[in-house]
Amino acid sequence: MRTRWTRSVRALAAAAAVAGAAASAGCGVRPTGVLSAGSLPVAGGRAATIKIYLVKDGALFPTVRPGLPGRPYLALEQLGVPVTAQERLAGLSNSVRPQQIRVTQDQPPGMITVWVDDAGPEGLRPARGSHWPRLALAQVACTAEAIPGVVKGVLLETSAGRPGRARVQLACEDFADLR
Amino acid sequence: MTWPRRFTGLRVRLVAAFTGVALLASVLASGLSYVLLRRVMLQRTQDSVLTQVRDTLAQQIPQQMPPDTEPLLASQLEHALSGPGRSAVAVPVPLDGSAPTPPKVGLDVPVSAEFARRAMREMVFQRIVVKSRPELEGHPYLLVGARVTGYTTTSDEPRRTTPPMVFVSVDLGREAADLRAFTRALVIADAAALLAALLLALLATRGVLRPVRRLGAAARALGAGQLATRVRVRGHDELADLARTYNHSAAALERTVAELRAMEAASRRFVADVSHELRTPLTSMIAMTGVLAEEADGDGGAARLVAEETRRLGLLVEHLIEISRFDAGAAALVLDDVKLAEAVAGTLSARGWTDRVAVQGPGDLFVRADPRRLDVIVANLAGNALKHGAPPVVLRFGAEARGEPGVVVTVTDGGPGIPDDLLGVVFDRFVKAEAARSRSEGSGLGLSIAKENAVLHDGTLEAANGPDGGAVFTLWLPARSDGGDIGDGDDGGEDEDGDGERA
Amino acid sequence: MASILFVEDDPSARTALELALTRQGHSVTSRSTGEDGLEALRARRPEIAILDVMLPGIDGIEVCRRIRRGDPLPVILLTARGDDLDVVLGLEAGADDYVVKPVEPRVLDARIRAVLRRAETRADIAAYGDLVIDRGSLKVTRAGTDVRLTPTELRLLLELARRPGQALTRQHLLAEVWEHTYPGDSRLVDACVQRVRAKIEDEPAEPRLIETVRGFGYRFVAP
Repeated sequence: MRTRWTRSVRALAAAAAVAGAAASAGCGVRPTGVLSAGSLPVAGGRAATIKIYLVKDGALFPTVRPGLPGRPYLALEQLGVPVTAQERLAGLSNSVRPQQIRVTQDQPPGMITVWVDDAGPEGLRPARGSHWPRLALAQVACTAEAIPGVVKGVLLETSAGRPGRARVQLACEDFADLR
Repeated sequence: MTWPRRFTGLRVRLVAAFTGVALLASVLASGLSYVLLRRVMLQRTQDSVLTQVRDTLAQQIPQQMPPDTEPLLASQLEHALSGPGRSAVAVPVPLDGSAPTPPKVGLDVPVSAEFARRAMREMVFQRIVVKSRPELEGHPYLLVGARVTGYTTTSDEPRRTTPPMVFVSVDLGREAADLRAFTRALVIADAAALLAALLLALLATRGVLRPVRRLGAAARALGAGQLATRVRVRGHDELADLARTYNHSAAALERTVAELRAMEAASRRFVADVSHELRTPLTSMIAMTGVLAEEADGDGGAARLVAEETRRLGLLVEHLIEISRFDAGAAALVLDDVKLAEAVAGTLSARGWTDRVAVQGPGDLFVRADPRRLDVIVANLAGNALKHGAPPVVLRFGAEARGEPGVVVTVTDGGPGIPDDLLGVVFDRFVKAEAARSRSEGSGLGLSIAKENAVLHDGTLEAANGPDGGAVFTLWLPARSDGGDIGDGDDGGEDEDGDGERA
Repeated sequence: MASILFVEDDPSARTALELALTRQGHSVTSRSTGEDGLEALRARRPEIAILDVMLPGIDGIEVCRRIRRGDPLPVILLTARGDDLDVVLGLEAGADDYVVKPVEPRVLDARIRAVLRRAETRADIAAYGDLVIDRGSLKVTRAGTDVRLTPTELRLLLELARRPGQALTRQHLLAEVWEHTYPGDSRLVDACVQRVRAKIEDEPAEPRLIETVRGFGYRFVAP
């Protein structure tokens, strides 16, 4: 009787321990291994292509690049990157030095300000030794006016240049000789 | 080894089994519902996160990327996928086919190399419970990793036009909290179910056990002599059968006992009647033999012997009547406050034993007793000692409490004591110490009557042998100081009960 | 010594006891029925009556009751049963004493002498309120009228009145009044006290002359 009782007590204790362990292990959010959630998503972002004015034989030459969704001023930002290998093979080049370019919208609508980092020693004046020759300014002006919604009025500005040379009003028609 | 009944009783076992089954069922049900609910809840959260990641990647990343826009896209994706409770990190896809370097910062949980490697091939997720950070110990997160496929890039400059991959960590704290709340609700519900099961079990077992208990009580009552006890038979189950069987047995027993009692009562009544009938002729015989003995000339031995034997016969009849009165339960106490010293002296002097028995005891001790019955007891004890023992016969009395205040009277003698084979039966009827002398004196009922009288007083009378060999008879009577007027006794008169008082 | 009326239906017992009592010096008139006994009572005027309880026709207790209606004649009952009912009924009927069969003639003789023994006579008159006890003439008057007491009742009253204010035990009274050896039947005392109270108390249910001392005995209280 004593041994039976002891045995049953032991069995009961073991059962209680297992149940307790199961309860404590089974409650709440359990960690998992690495699980598959299906195949990779397919890139399908819809964005209009963008028109960028590059340079070929000393004159402006329009070219087309893919766009990005939700970035209307991507064309101006793309002026800050070097030309692709394909474009170089086609004889295209970029007079704008590689840099970070930002665009802000101004009042009234249709006016934008293009912010650039690299002012160079002459600021934004297309003088000799300037980082911003006339061809580069033409690229900015004509690329900007090719963006839908930008009617005219492009303000090129840099925070790094000297006063009086840090800001310039541009229009594509001013560079008609380079087209 | 047996366990106390309350641990192994039918009721406890039934209740335990009932409650155990109910508890098992309710715990199983709540466990199942918990598991199902957890699965559904986590599934929903995961699905929504995965869908959002998938959709965001598919919508934000175009088939073809402008050159050098990977950081731009990365910050755009991070912004789109971040939010309260979730953070996202976009990293460049390594182009040599190796696993990407898991981001060290920006996420709530670290990304394992295995996770990053698998994220290159397919969309993956993992639930992680924080262990390393003590402030978030046990906090769960969902980690998702994915990149897009189906984009075009250039073969000579793939680095400039490859979209980044993203890792998103989602805080599952709200789900965990919901689960905890659900667990609490389940525990409360289970406790309520347990309580209800316990109550139901108690009710049910009472229904089952009440007839069993009734039967038990009835059987005990039967055992205690209440033979008319029966149980009510209800229903048609096994218990009802048992109750019916019990009733039949009890009825049979009652009949048998009633017959036996009637027979016994008849035989006792017969003894009493015979004794009564003998009284009138004995009256004549005693009167006549007395006259004969006085008239006898010379020694007149024969007449005196007849007179003596006739008186003995009268004594025997008296004792038989007294005993039959005890047997019939007709003996009654006529209580009075008795001064023990006076009572003992009166008993001894009435029988002429004052010189033969030494008395020791306080003079002012009172006992509430029937004086006539006390006289019978003392006379029998003293007479027995004088007859069967040897001098000195000593009678001692005094106060002695045995659970309640009382008085004790001991009578000792200097004789050889009571033979061992008689010690246990000395108060039985017609037991005589010496077979050779048994004819001579006494009725053989004196000590029986003394014992009956002691018991009638709620007292005791015991026989033993003293250390120096003589017989010791010990009478104890409760003092019973409570008042109460003298009730109706049984007979009275001058009938003298002591053995051998006519020596 | 005394003239006795003896009523007993059993012929041999009657003969034997009559013979034995005659040898003790008494003059015995024997009758076998209660009716005859009452008849002989009127004709012979005995000093004491000894009545068997079990009689054909009217029994000994009824005979005793009829005697008590107008006569302080001492009565001793002779019972074969010795049962409570006989004793209690007999004492209620006014019997002075009782003996249980089989009785020894000398015991019966002692009882008879005790019942008939006169209390000691002294020229002494005591008044307790309107109760006057004359020990010389053994007469008791209450408010001028005679109180008729049996000899036993008279002896009990004299014994109690001899020591006013002192409680006397039943056993003491049994020994003094009935001359019983220890122990006697205390119900004799109780029954006799009831009868005396009925004769001398204003309110027998609330006695003021003879008080009961609970669990002990009785006490005579002089007003």
